[in-house]
Amino acid sequence: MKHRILVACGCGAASSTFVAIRVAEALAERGIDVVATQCNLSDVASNLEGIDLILTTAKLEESFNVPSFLGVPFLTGIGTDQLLDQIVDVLMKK
Amino acid sequence: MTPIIVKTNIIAKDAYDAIRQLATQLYSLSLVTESFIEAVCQREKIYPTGLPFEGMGIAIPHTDPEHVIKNCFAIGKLSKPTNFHEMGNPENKIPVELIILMGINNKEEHLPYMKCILENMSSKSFIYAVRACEDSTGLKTLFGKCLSEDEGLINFE
Repeated sequence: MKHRILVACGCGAASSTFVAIRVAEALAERGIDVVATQCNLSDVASNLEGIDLILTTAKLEESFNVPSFLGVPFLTGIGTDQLLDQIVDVLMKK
Repeated sequence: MTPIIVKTNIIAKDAYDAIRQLATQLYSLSLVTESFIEAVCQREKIYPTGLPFEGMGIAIPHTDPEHVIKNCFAIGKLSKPTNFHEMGNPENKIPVELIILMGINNKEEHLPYMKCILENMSSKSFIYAVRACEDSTGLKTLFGKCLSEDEGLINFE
């Protein structure tokens, strides 16, 4: 069963693409299949259909029913393991 | 071929001054529009891009594709660490020594470069090498090595 992650950044370009690829790769290594889609931060609310988890590279001002995390560790490589543990936790509960 | 400008010993009064200096270089080479310069600064204010890599703070300022004529980069080493706000944690400031200003017009084309740069920045030895660069020749060599493997020649302006 494929989980779906939404990656949002300030202008839908560089950082969210990179994070989307990285998180999908890292989760695949842990045997978890995900589809990562991207959008602008301002469009998160309208893209939540079927989404299990949100990753952002900027602070999310609103809170949604879907758990959200900062995806910056996927850019710096620092704290990735802890973040992945948290993500796996959330996905496995679904 | 993605044009990459390299500049060292940048003297700037703050993050935005540093960004403007690099952005103006890209504009003078007609790689970006004039609106790019302020657009990057504005975006940096709302969505900061300071990243605390282990051993060195870097920043990856960028803006919307409408201001970019051709995919390009301007890599700038600051003469002294300058505070940028942290990506995802805007109240926090990061002392930044290296700016990777990105002109993104085509995401697919841009991604391999960004990937290579970010992967290299995760390596302590790469960071030491960057810090040791005293002029743009050294910086060109470092980044040229990591970027031109499969890409052919990259034109340093």
